[in-house]
Amino acid sequence: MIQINHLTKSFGSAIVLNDVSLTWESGMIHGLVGQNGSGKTVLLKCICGLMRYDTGEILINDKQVGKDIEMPPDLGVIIENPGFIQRMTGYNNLKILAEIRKKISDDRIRETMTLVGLDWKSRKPVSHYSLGMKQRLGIAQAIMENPSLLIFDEPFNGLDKNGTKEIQKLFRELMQTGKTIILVSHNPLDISEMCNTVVEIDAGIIRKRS
Amino acid sequence: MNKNYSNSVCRYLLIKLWEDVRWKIIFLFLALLFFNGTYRINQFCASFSIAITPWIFPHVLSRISVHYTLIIGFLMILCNLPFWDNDSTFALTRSGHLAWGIGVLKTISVVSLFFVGYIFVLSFIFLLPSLSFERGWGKVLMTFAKDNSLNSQYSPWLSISNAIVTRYSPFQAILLSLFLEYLCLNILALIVLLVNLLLKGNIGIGAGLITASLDFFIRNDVGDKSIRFSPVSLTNLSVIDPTQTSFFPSPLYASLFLLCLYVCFCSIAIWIIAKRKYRQ
Repeated sequence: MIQINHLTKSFGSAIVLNDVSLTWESGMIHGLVGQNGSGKTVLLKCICGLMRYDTGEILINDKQVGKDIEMPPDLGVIIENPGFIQRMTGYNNLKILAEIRKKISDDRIRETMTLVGLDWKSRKPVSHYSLGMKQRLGIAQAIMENPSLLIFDEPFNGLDKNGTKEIQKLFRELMQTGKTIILVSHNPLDISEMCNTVVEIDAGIIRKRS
Repeated sequence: MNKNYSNSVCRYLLIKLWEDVRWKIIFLFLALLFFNGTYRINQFCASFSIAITPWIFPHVLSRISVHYTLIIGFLMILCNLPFWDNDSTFALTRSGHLAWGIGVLKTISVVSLFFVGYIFVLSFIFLLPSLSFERGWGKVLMTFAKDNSLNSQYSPWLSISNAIVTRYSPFQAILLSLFLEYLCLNILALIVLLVNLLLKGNIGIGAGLITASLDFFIRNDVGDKSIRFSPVSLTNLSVIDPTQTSFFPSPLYASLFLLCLYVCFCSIAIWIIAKRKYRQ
């Protein structure tokens, strides 16, 4: 479970997150929507431990991020644009990321690439990938180590209609295996139909919950 | 997060740097610089049919403009330390900040080693047609060191230092200058890292270059004791005196000072990252 209590974050005099409180249950898909600049990405970065927050707390399974744990230990994430080494193949990119923790085999990397609709044998460098392919590769890196918490910022960027459906199906399957998924989008239509809960954030304040 | 991930982070960052076109351009530029700077020495050797020894490296560091150019190239490779850009999010969320920080320190060490090695090779690679190995400095370097007019005619870019050839054997000079230059590059990179961690924007390279340029000010007043506190000046063997008969610092002082500074900066960097005192 993710519990966010009275979270505040500001950059200088600009308040980006203003007393944000949320609870996201495990094993569900949760949506976070809001206009550009509403504070979505900053909230995600705080949850991931990539950014410090000023006041409040973020508890993941009762452990406070930034205090008890530096970052959620079991996390898969895409925030902003998927960043890969452009001149390497998709497979090699995933391989060097997987080698940081050395938790999974090469077979698992291949299996994950196939799962998201990418050809692991392709020698094409990431720089030649379309935006949709990069997005799929980003999703593959997030799920390949089988983390229990998945955070996706604008996961359907660059995907066509069929691609979006495939990835939505994949997210549902992941949820059925007990994963907690947080989907973030500036467009509510993208994610609302597949989310168990949707929260709208505007100017750093939670406006609507459904 | 596990500190043992630091080796993997180092490997990841080295792969990323390797794929970056920046170092290739810088290395090519430096190769051209050395080619241009040494071809007259080749001409000299060819015209008098004498061979040159490959012990140029300590002299490269004693020429301030050349050394400063090398440092600019080195710092440009590492100007975006600690590499916490958006592209690194995937790796950073796997390693955690502390392992990342330790990985960055290891990366700096490896890059510094590689860079020093490259400069060492560059210092003699273009002299291969005239090269011969011997234990001493050899006729050409000794002649250049003793004769200023010859030096300025055939080696205006490099300038072979008389102080170095009289105070050190080639073996001592090479080993000492490799060691001091390696520490110096590490220290300058750590300054870039610390400033980038503490201040907004990648302005650490400016701090690194200012530290390196202390050498310019100090050389204009050789009697200044401040030479003892300038990392770049302490790599210049022509102002390090093993005989201790002048006011210049000794090799032991230079080594210990740079080593202490290195350990100190590494500890501060780890502390800043571990305590999350860095600016965001």
